[in-house]
Order: sequence, then structure tokens, then C-alpha cells
Amino acid sequence: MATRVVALEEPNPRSPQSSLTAVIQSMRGRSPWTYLSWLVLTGLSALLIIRQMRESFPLPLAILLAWLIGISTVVWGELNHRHTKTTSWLKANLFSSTANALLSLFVCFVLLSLVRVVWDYAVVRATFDPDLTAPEARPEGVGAAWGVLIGASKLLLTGTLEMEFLPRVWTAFGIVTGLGVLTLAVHWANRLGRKTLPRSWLNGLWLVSPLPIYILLAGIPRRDPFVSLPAILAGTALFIGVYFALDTLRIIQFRIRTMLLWACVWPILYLVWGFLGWTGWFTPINVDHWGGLLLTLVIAVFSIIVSFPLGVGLAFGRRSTARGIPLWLPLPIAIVLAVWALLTSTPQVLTSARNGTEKILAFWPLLIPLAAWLFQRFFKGNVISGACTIYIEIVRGVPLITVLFMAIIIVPLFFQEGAQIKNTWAVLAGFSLFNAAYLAEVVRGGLQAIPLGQYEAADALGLNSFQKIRFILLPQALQIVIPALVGLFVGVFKSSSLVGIVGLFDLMGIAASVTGNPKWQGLRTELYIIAAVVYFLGSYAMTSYSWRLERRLANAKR
Amino acid sequence: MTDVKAFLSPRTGNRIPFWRDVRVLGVVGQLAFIVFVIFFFRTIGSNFIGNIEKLGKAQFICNDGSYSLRCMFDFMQTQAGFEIAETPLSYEVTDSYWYALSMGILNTLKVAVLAILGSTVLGTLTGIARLSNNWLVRSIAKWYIELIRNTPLLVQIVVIYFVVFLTLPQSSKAIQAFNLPIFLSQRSLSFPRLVPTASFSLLLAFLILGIIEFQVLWIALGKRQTETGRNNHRMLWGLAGLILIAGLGWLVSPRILDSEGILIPKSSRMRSVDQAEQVVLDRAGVDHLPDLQRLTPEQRADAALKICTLQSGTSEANVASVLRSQDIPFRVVKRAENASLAAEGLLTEECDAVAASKSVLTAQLTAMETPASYLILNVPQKPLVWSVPRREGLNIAGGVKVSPEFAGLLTALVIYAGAFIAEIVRAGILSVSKGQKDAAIALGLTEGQRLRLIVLPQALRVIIPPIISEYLGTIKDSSLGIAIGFPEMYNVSYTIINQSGRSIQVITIIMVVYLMISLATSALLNWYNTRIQFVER
Repeated sequence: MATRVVALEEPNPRSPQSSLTAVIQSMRGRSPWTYLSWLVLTGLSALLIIRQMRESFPLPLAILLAWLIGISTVVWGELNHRHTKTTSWLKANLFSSTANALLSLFVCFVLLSLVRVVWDYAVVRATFDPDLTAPEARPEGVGAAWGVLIGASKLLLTGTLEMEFLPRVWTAFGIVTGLGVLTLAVHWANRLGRKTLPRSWLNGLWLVSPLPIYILLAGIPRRDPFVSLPAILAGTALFIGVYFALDTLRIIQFRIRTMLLWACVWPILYLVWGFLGWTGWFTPINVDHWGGLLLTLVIAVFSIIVSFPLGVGLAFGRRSTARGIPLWLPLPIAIVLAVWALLTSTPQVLTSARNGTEKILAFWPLLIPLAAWLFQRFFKGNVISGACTIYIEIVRGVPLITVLFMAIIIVPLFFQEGAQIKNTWAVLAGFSLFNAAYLAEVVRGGLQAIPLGQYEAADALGLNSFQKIRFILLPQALQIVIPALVGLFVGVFKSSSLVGIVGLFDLMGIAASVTGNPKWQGLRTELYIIAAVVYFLGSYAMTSYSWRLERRLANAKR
Repeated sequence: MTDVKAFLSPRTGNRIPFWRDVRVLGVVGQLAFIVFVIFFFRTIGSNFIGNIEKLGKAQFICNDGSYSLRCMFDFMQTQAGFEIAETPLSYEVTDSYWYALSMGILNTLKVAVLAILGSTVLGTLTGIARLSNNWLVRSIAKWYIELIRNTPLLVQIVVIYFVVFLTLPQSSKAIQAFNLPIFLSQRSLSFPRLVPTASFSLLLAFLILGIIEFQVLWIALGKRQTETGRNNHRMLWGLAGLILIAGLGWLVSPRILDSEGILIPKSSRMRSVDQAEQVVLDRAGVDHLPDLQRLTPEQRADAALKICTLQSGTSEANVASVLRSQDIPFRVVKRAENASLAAEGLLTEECDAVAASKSVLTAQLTAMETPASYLILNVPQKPLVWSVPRREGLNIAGGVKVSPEFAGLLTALVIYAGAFIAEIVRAGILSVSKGQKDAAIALGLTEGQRLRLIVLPQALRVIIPPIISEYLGTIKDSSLGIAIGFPEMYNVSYTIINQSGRSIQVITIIMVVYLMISLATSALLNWYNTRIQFVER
């Protein structure tokens, strides 16, 4: 019995005819929503195309032609099964389906209309003359007046700093740039295999740099030449004592050379400071006059540098596993205290209470044993962990503006009577404490990601806590959280713009107040856009550096 | 054979000396920490107390004039004396500081909740767009995210407010968007809104009945569906029942709770609201309603029906909607505080009719001098009435007015948080293993179904923890409203501090409030997070 097998009709892949019908066949039998989306996209695109063509002819026509050419090459490639690299990219990314192709056209024309409007305002109708920025000199219909960037450049860069101090600012900037270029050059030379400056010298230069920058930007108050030998000796003894303590803790290794170096630091600093104070070369600058981009950079850099050790300390403190104070110690004391307070103060408060709330508040001694019990429950009695956690949670729960405002109003109250704390220093302190809490959480995440075996191996090797932190934990933790760290630093740079609300004139504050000058009245848009561009460039540079760093480290791990 | 014990001194055995014992060091460290903290706060505290006393005892003055630490917050009961630009509830300058601060808190909550909702929607859509297979859409999403994430929020708020909202024209020349009844001007953005009238309560009862019916059908038909496997179209039947019941309620409730009316003098020849058309036509001197278009706008305004109404209540919206549906031109000339002031307009011929609820009108009728020469007509009432903004002289009347400060702050917060949420959503979607996507395609699910039913539920586990901190950040970022003058909590507290001088108390209060809001949100979202985690062995 021969069974005749009938071969099924297979579409010939080489024949263009069957493929074309296949293409058209695939466009039928879709759901009504698909057809509706095609209709809507076509209609909207047609509206936009007609509007754009009315304004100017060549560009919309060129885009339309490019789209048609794109579609036809992709369809031709499909039909003939011969895709080049370009056509396959076009097919995958722009013309993968009918809806996608129509979407590409629509998006193209939406972009064109937006770019047209912005281009018209910012380039075509704009003026670039710094003298033509006053409202009288700007007739109706003029676009952006970019002349304000040149005219107000000194204000935007350094704020209301007196003109005579500008060379010092440039010198400070030069020092930082010079050190940065040096670091980059050393790194590249090292990667190429050439020997250059040892790392410790570079680190030492960076460590010392805040001093000349501070002297340049803030100045030294004038004082008579008075060298107090006890002060020098006390300082030197302190430095040597710290060195010996670090050596006892086995963090550094004792070397006569290094000890002499440490011993020299204080006398040199003291003498230099006294000398400069006597000559009066660097007159003190009122730090409240710092402004513009200078203030933004100072706030960001200072805050990052100061909050780093604080944040790392808070992170380790929060994870402290030291044996806490057991409940049997504070609870009896708390109960005794509560009973004593209930007997002495509550009856008084109850009789003189004025309303229901005060009657309830009269029973405040009951909170003392409750606090002791809660402390045991949440932190296992560990004071350090409790204090760090409470600090971090409180600081992370309030907005930055309130912290800055509190810093300006309340911090001066903490100092002695008559001590005038400049607003800038208060804001710098508050901002650093705020960022330390966020940094602590990021570092804590990194510490949690280190495998437990690393901790155990460090203990097995006999490393003490400081050595463990310095050599094993911190390097690994920081490497793990580099993306989050850079994101945090970008956030610090951006949130420094808030100091404009509390009265300091950083880049945003200056941009807002420059419009008060009659020469630059009404130029809000231009100034804010300039400030936005500056922030964007800085943040984008940091973010893309972090991407590169991530990629390099990921490659290195393999 | 060496004796190990010989290495250990018989006195100490194998005990660790106390100065190296970690446990002892831990406790000593904590005690040292406590001592340090006490010492630190002692120094600061003494300076603090000294400075507070220097500030003067005025900080702690009580209501009766004496001084006591207890009266620290008593000053918050004094009259505020300052205006707040927009408040969710009614606020007078004679209200206390506490009430003013609570208005600020309500404003903060309003903008924060709306910003969270809007940014979640925008962020999810952008995150999905970031993974689209269209290169243009992907690139636009990517550049939007990069641009927004790398610019400070304050700059964005200020740019959106000054460049977008303050460049709108004056309200007399307000822009009408897309020929819809939406008017955009520098003073406010007016949108139409639904106003529930007196019969809405009955409609609500019908709606609740309809929802119960929908639920019952859903469960019952759903059970039958799982048992038999046939598609029972329960969504269709449920919706049909709901619409039927709601429609019944719509028709029945105005008949039962019919409470709107207008008061007119008998001398006007209107005997029902439909005849208002005739009054206008007579005044204009034309015969048919379409002929009114041939007149100039001033003649039309003169001929329009003049209505007096009450400031509060829904009568204005109702009467406006009825007259609008009949294309009768009208003008609300007076919004009085009470009915007698409104009725004065009738006497002075300032207006043709007074619109209010029938009970108010009947009461007013008995109080008038010649009740016999007036008539109360019934106005057909719908349970929900559109209050549509319209140009009235130099202003826009009707609808809901959104201030540019609120709109600017909300837009900036939504855009900013949306960019961060987009990255979080993208990371979440990428965390779902590729096999899920392949399996969904193999099962024949469309792209939308795949996203909705397979990918997003699994991505939620990775998305929720970072989104919690994003939401908390949005709530705290609402405090930047002070830069554009939106009266949220920080702005109001700033005014209170400036006026009363009690900076420490007010700062403490607002920090505690922010902390409570943050802790409550964090607790709620962490509970949700625990609920949707993977259940693992």
C-alpha cells in the first residue's frame, strides 16, 4: 500500500511576490486598537507635518523623504532577504512594525517643532551684546539676551566678593587645577609603566592643599609677631603623641623619618601662620561675601570632604556589635527616677495645669522607664549604635532647608555670648552634618555587602579593629558602592543650590538677585538657563566618570 | 611530649587580659561615649541656656502675662495676622498660628500626594519607554532622564514657574487651550469641574447599590467561570447593571430631591425657566435665538439674563449649566453673602432673577415687602453639574482655579521624581529574568499583556524599596515651594518665625511634623514591601 504523501505548499522564500503578500497579510487581522493607533499616529503626524511645512519648506520635506527612504530600504531588504548593517539596524530600531514606523515619523516631527521653537528663541532672535541687555535696549520680539552672561560674569563666578580679592581666587583655582593635572599625569604615566612621583607624595600634596586654599580664600587676621614657645611645644607633643598612639594601635609602622616629619608639621604651620599674620599679605575676607560658582564649589567640596569621615564613622557606629548595656542596669535606675519625679514634680504640674494637654504632659516621668525599655528593645542596649541610628534617622527625615535654617538660627546660640559665627560657616557645618547621615547609609549598604567571611578572616589573622577597617573593610565597601557614592556627590553638588533660600548667594542665589539690577531686569530666563547648564555640565561629568569607573572595575573583576 | 599547660602561667591560665578583651573594651567604649556626650551637651547646653536667657524672657511669656517654661508654645494661639494665598479649608487672618500652620501642613500633603501619584505614572511610562524597541523613543527617554537628574530641583522649579507660568497673559486676555473651556492666565489656571448638588446624596446611594451589584455579579459569575470554563463576560454584565442602576438614580434623584429655584418678579413674563429665552430675545429685539449672533458683543451683554446668587452653594453652577444647555446668554452680576442682599438686587433691578435653593428663597420671600409680586420658579436640577469657566468681564468665573504656584511646584516635582522613578522601574524590569519574557511570547501574550501580567508584578519586588526613599524625598522636596511662594508648611512657618520671633519653637514643631510624615509613609510602604516579597524556602 503506497500512501501518497502530498507535500504541503511552502512559500518560496526567494520569491518576492509571496513575501509581499506575506507582508500585507501580516497587516490584516489585527486588533481594532492597533488600527486605531495607526490612525491616530497618522493623523497627528499629518497635522504636524502640515504645520511645519507652512513655516519653512526644506527641513520637514527632508525629514519626510528620509523617512520614506528608510521605509523603502527596509521593505526592500525584507523582500529580498538581503540586509546590510544599516538596514538591519533601521529595521530593528526604527521600522520594526507599522506602528513603530509611524511612531518614528511622529516623534521626529514633534522634536522638530520643539527644536524650532527653542532655536528661534535662543539663537535666531537672540542678542549677544553685553551692552544691549537693559529692557529699553531690547525691543519687542527679541529672543534671549545672552549678553548678560558676559556682563554679569564676575557676579556669577564669584558673587559679591570685592574686586581686589579676585587674583587670590584665581590663584586658589590655579592650585586646585594644577594638582588635578599633576594627579592625572601621574596616573597616566603609571599606567604606561613609567615611574614618577610616589603616591604618598601626591597624597601628601592633596592633604596639605586645603591650607593654602583657606589662606587665599579666607585670609589671616593681622596680628603682632608673637611666638609662644609653649604653644609650639604643646602642638608638637600632641602630633608626636598621636603618631605613637597610631603606632600602638598598629595602624601605621614606626619610622624615625616619618616621626620627624610629623613633628615638623605643627611648628612649620604655626610659624607660617604667624609670619603671614604679621606681614598682612592675606587680608581676611568676609566669608559671607563669597558667592556665585565659587561658593557653590566651596560648599560642595567642603561638605564632601568633611562629611566623609563623619559618615564612615556613623556607618560603623550604627553597625556596632559591642556588648550593650544590659537591661538590669538602667531599668531599675529609670524606675527609681520615674517614681521620684512622679512624687515631686507631677502634683505641682497637675495643680497648675491649664488644659487637658498639660494634665497629660504632667505624667512625663512615665516616659523614662519606657525609653529605657525601648532602648533595650531596638538597640540591645548598645549606646553607640542607638545614638548613631537616631541621628541618621532624624537627619534623613527632615528636609535640607529646615536643617540649613536651623543651622543659621540655632548654631550661633551654641557658642559663647558675643561670638559672631558667620552664616557661611554655619551653613557649611549644617550641610556637612546633613550629608554625613546620607553617606552613612550608603557606606552601611556597602559594609553589608561584604561577605561575612572577610570579617572572620580578618579576625582569624589577628587584625585589630582599626586594621580591619583600614585594610579589609573600607576598600571593599567603598568599591562596591562607587555608583551610589558618586550619585550622592552629585546630589550634594545639586542640593548646594538650596543655600540661596537661606540668604547665601551661591550660583542660584546670584542668578535670582542679578535681575534686580536695572541693567539686567527681566532676564530671568537666560540667567536660570545658564545656571542650569552649569549644574548639568558638572553633574553629567561626574556621572559619566562614575560609569567609566564602574566599567573599568567590572572588567578588572573578571 | 611537651606539656602545653607549661606554656600558660598558672596564675592567669588562658584568660585574656582585660585591656585587650573585646567585651570589656566594648562596655568601656560605650561608657566613654556616654561621658563624652554628656560633657559635650553640658558645654553646649550651658551656652545655649545662657543665650536663651539673653534673648529675653519674652520667649516664654504666658497668656496671663507671667513667665514660665511651660508657656513655650502659648504664642501659637495668638492671631496670625497674615494672609495665606491658597488654603484647602477656609482661613481668616484672625485665626491662630496653629491653624495657619495646619493650613500649611494640608497644602504640603496635597502637593506631596499628587506629586507622588503623578510621578509614579510618569516614571513608569518613561521607564518602559526607555526599554522600547524604537531607537528614537529610547533616546528621548534617556536624554530626558539624564537632563532632569543632573539639574537641581530648585533650578527646575524656578525655571518652570518663571518661564512657563509667569509668562502667561493677564486674566483678561487668558489663553483658551485647544478651544476647550480651559483658561490659562497668570493669576490662575481654570479647569471645569463637577459640582455635586443637593440630589447627589441620593445618586450616591444608587451608586453604592450599583457597586454592590457589580461585586456580587463579579464573584458569582467568576465562580461559574472557573467551574465551567466558559467566558461569562462578567465585566460586561456587571458594567451593564452598574450603568442601569446609576442611570435610574440619575433620573430619579432630581425628581425626589428637587431643591433649586429662582426668584423672579411677576412683572417679568417668565413662568418657567424655559421661557427665560423669551425675556432675553425681547430685550435684544430679535425673534430667534440664533439672531443674537448678529448683534455686537456689547448688545449681547446688555441683553443677557442677569442673575444674582449666593457666594456659597451650588445654585450658581446649576443655573449656569441649565442656561448654558439652552444657549441663553447670562451674566452673574452679584454673588451675595446672604439671601436678603441678593434679593436687594431684585428690588433695584440690578438682576432679573435670584438663584438659590428653594428653602432659602421661600424664607426670603416671606421676608420681602410685597411677597405677592414675586414668584419662585423651579429649576431642573441634575445631581452632578459641570461648573465650566467662562469669561466674565476681566475675570474668569466658574470652574476650579489652580494657582500657578501650585501648578508650577506640582509639575516640577512630578517631572523630577518621574526621572528617578524611571531609572528605578527600568532596573526593576531588567531584573526579571529573560526566560519570563520568552515564555510569555511563547504563550502568545501580546506585549501589553506581558508587561502587565508577567513582568511588572515580578519587577515590583525590586522596585519598591528604592521608590520608598524616592517618595520620602518628594515629600521633603515639597518644602522648596517657598522659592516660588507656594504656602506649604515651611513657607508658613517661615512667616510665623518672622512675625513672632520664636524661631526655636517653630523649627522644632515643623521638624517633628516632617519626621512624623516621613515615618508614617515609610512604615506604610515597608508594610507593603514585606507583603510583596518573594516567599522563599
